[in-house]
Order: sequence, then C-alpha cells, then structure tokens
Amino acid sequence: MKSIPSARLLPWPFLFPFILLQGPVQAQDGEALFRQNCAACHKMGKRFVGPDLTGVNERRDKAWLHKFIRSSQTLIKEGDPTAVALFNENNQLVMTDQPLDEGQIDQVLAYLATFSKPAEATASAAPAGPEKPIVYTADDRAAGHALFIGTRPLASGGAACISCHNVNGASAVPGGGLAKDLTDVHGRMGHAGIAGILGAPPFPAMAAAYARAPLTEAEMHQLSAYLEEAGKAQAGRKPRTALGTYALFGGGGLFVILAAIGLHWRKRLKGSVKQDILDRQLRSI
Amino acid sequence: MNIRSQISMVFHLDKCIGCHTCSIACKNIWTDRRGAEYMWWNNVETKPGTGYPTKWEDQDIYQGGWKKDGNSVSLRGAGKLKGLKNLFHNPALPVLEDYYEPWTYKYSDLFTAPEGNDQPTARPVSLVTGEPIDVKAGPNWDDDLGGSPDYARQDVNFKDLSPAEQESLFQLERMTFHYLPRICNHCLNPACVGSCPSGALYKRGEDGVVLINQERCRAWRMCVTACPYKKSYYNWHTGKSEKCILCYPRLESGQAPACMHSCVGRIRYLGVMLYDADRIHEVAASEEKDLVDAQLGIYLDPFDENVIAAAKANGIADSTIRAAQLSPVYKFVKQWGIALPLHPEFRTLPNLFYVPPMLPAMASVDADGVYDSTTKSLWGGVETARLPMKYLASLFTAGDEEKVRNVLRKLLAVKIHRRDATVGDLPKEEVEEALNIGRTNAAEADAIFRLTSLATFNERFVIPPAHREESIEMMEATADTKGETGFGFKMRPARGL
Repeated sequence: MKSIPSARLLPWPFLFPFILLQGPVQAQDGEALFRQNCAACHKMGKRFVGPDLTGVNERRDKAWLHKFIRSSQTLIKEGDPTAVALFNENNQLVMTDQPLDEGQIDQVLAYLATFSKPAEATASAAPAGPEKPIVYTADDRAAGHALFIGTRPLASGGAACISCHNVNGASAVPGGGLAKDLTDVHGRMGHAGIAGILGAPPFPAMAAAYARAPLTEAEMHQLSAYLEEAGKAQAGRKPRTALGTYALFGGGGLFVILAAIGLHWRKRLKGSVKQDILDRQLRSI
Repeated sequence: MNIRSQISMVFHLDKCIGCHTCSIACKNIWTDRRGAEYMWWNNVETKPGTGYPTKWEDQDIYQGGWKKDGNSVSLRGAGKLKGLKNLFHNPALPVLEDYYEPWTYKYSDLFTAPEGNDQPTARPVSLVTGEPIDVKAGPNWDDDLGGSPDYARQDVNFKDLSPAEQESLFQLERMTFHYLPRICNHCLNPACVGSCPSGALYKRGEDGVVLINQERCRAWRMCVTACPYKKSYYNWHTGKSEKCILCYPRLESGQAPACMHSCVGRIRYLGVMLYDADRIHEVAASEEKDLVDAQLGIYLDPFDENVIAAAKANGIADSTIRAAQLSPVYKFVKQWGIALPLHPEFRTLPNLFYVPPMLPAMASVDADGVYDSTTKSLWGGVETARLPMKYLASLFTAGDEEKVRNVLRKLLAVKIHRRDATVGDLPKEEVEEALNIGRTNAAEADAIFRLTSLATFNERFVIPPAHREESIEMMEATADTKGETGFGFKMRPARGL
C-alpha cells in the first residue's frame, strides 16, 4: 500500500507522448534487440558470418523462424532439412541459441520485415559504401599472439583467449578446451566475423566474461591478424586436441606422485601384523 | 630442584592370577561405548606371548617410544618434522586386526527363532559392522599359552634367546608362563604427549596423570604410534583418541582406580612419588645400561628435609607429602628395590613398576625315565628358574640380568625367612645365607611380607587428597556464588519468603 503515493508522483503528463507512440517504439525495440543479439553475425543486404536476412519473413514461415531463433541446434539435431542445409551452407557454424521470448522474436522479425525491399533499407543497416581493405602487419600478428596467450593483458583486463580456446601452435601447452578451437576461425569467418563476435559475443559464457571488459578495436584487429596467420600456418593439419595432452600430463603426473609416495613410505605397515596367524586359522562361516 | 608429585603404581606379578577382573572393571566403567569396544585400557597378557596389540613391544614395527639421539632423545616414529611429514599418512599405525575386531552375540535369536528340531544359537556379530563374523582373535587370545605356536613363540622378548633356549621353553617339563597386566604407565617422559600435533595430550600438574583433551584431539593418531606400550587408542566412532585416565574422578574422591579396587589377587599398589622434574631430560637420555638406575634416582626421599622444603616451595600440599611418605610404591621401588619398570629402554620413564614373578623351578626326567619335579631346597633357587633370566631382563631391565636376579634373590629370601618364621623347619644357616644373598634382613623381609600378603586397602592405596576446593578457587571466586545455589524452590511459595 505504501507504493501508491510514490506512483502518484510519477510524471504521467510527460509519459503520455510515449504511450501514444507505442507502435514506433516497438519497432525501435526490434532494432535494439537485433543489434544486441544478431548484428554480430548478420547484416542486412549482404552476407556476413551468417546469411543475409533480407526477406527472411517471406522465405520461411513464422513458426519455423521462432523455433530456429530459439534453438537452431535443436532443429539441426532433429534433422529438419532446411536447418541442416543452412548449417552445411554456413561452414557448419552453429547459430547460438537466443534467449528471447515470443514477443521479442516478433519484434525482431517485425524489424527485419522493414528491409523486405532493399530500397527501404535505412542508412544505419545498409552497407556503408565500399569497404576498406583490411591490412595486417607483422606487428599486429605479434601483438595478437601475445594477447591470445595472455603474455600481454587486454586493455580492459579481460581473460586471455587461451583460457578457453585452443589455437594450434599458439603455445607449448594447448589452450583451454571449454570453447571452440579457433585455429581456422579466420578462414571461416574472416575479419568481420571475428570482430563482430569479439565486439558483442553471442555465446553466453563469453558474453558474461567480457560484459565488463570489452575489447578495443585495435585488439580485435590484432587478434584477427594473429588468427589469420595461425590459420594459414596450420592449414590442413588436424586440430590438436587438448584432452589427449591433458590426459597424458595428468596420468603421468599421477604416476610420478604415486611412485614418490610409494617410495617415501615403502616401510609403512601394510595390513595386519598378525595376518599370517589369521590366515592360518580355519574359516567357520 | 623442581619437585612434583606423581601417582605411581606397583603390580606384584607373583600375585596375579590372570582372572581379568581388572580388565572387566575398566571396560564396564570406561570403554563399553561405541567405537571403544576394542579398547582395553587395562589388559592382562600371558608371557611368553605377543600381547595386545600383537607384538606391541616390537618398535621396529610400531615405531613407538624415544631413541637416544646424542645427548638428547627423539621420538622414533613421530615428533615435529617426522610428524609433519607423516601428518596425512601415518605409516606406523596398528590396524584393527592388530588389536581384534570386537564382537557380541545375537542373543535375540535365542528368543525369536522359529520352533524347529535344533536349538537356536546366538551367532557372533561384529560390533563394528553388525554383520556376522568369524571370530579369529580377541584381546587375550593367547591366554595361558593358548595357540602358542602362533603367539608365544613369536614373543618379541625372545630376540636375545638362542633358538635352543627358545625351544626348551616349550618342552612340557620346562613350560611356564606368567601374567602381565598392563595399563597406561602415566610416564614422566610421555612419548604420546610429545607427539601430539594438536597439543591435546597433557600431563596433569597435580598428580602426573596423562590425559587426552577430547575437545582438542584432531585424530592425527600420532600418540597411537608414539606410545611404545600402545596404550593410546583411536575411537573410530568419535574420531578422537582415548587412553587410560587412571580413573581420575575416583582418585579425586579418594577411591582407588577401578582396576586396582577390583583386583582379586590384590596385586596392585598405588601411591605418590616425589620426583625432580628438572632431571627428566637427562635421565631419559642416559645410556641404556644406566636407564633403570637413573630412573629410580629421579624419585626423591619424601622424608628428606630438603626435599620436603623444596616440595612445599613448589606448591605441593602437606597432605601429598604425607601420602608420599606412606606410599607403598616408594617402599617397593626405592626402599626395597624389588619393583622394576616395564621396558625402560623405551625411555618414557614409566610410573608403573612390576615385582617380577618367581617362577617354579624346572623339573627333569632322570635316567630311569622318572619325571622328577622335586628340588633339593624348598624353592629350587633363582638359578634354576624355568624362565631364562634373559627373558625377564628383556622385560624389566633393558637386558641387565643381574638386576632381575637380585630382585628374585630378595623375594626368595623373604619366602625362606617366612617359612622359617611360620614353620621353622629350615636350618638357621640356610635362612641366614638366603637373607645374605638377598641382601636383606629379617626386619625388611617381614615388612615386605606384610605389604605383600597382609596389606589392607588403605595400605595398598595411599591416595593424596585432590584438594579440588583449592583448584576451583584458582578458576573462579567461589565466595561470589556462596548462598546462591543449593536448597530452593522451583515454584515460589504462596506465602512466606
């Protein structure tokens, strides 16, 4: 009951125009959601990491789109032919499950519908003229390597990539096995894809890890440079799995520790002092 | 001089009949609990035998006690650095089977079994798991030389005996045994106290009783390893170690410990000894051959004016000094010198002394095949005793046979003197000679006889008043609560007050 007086103090008159403009506001929500969740991989009017979404409302039916956005991986696993075909077309790169509810997905789709005719595309989402060619220097590659393995900290203090990702040849010890192997990521996604993901990570764990530690443009560029070089150097080689190496180190280490313990306590009492006496006795049960 | 008082004990092995009443009395009072079933704070062993836990005397196995280390002593299997290194894996711990798996019988089956052609039986069930078990060992499984090929022949004290000497001990004509009742020795230099990483073990200042603080014990079990007598036990249920507490609640109220109170053979004596705590280190580190004499030297004469003055200066009560003067332990150990410590080579300076047993002289089979158990003199003599002197020396004097022999000679002299006094059928020269060899005289022999055979309860147990009233005054001001507790009302009376 105590909340009533404070509700009365709300500036209702000032809110009124916004209530009237509810329709446009909703479309703007769709745009915001798109930028937040989709723009890392999708651009309107051109293929990016993922396919061009112009006219997607006409290409697919609404129910399928909802399912796919919610969890494309489930659809792929279920063997939905369209989903599997898309998966294969896009270098078998899975689209992240989006934590959006029905209304939000509708908002995003409504926003996408505004692009159904390329002519109507707004300036913000349209390709901004001819793209500048991307140039990687040797310094970029070295800096990117240092950032990747963590010998140079990220400006924001975020965790080094190697904590979760492996790149063949990055360091003596394989990188983490938590997230995807990035050895050939540049080949798959290119500079734009890498920068997109680094700028707004679509993966929940990564998003959380870098939410308060965003990378700078320069860092994204350097990492991309390094990943391009790594991908070329390791082209055609089998990805080195960290699991085997860790198992080897772990098993070997365990053996060494057990051997040391066995050696140090070799004179320990083993079993009962009178085991021979007990063994000699007949069993009755 | 730093004089302290110590409750000490004497067990007269010649009087022990091996009835285990002491063990039962102790068990019923203290260790009849879950997790403590296997513990026998008091146990009675048959010697020769391997004891409880099996081969406890073999410190090559159990790593207990102190060893001489230059001019000092160090713990064999525990201590600061060794203890730290082995903190999470103590390599010299006895397992439950070294004691025995405790069991009971399923008596309820006797009443609840369905009617049938056979008598119902009560099966043995483990007190640890509750499952039926095959009983293979108990705390006195080798009682009276039972199972001697397995137990008695593996006696640790045989180490200095030749195989022929060992073999002869098991010939029918020579076979012999005696009992060895054991409780915690409440040592002057306790290895258990020295080994505890938690500081849970302590030696009480007022009477030297060694105790484990159950609230501070962290179950490292270093005391179990360190005690060479294996008298500290781990309670698997409470996760704490426990040991004999010398029935201190009984001592504090002037009663003898339960094992001593209940002793059928009246073999146990308890009394105060005054000792010089400043000399403990030096005595514990003395040469092995000097250990017994050095230990006996640390106990002081309670009649000496200087000792009394120093004791008073150290806060020892007059009543305690009086108790020390009347102490039967002082008589046996110091005045008469007929009680010896058990395994002094462990260097813990135990405060439990044993009067060694006079065992029967050996019989022989003569040329005609006649089994002859008669002897020329009444008791045959110390030299013809069945048990090799080496064996007793291994138990009580760290290998010094002469010391054991001297004690036995004196005990024999007492017997011959008393035979002379009561029956009078021995030649005077023989009695005189026996007293001379025993280095005693008629008066001392009578005194020994009196305390051995006729002693009353109050002569056997001279317990100093605990002065708890003074102890509590150190902790709190008793006058503050005077008049506050006692008789009162739970409900306020309607009238009055």
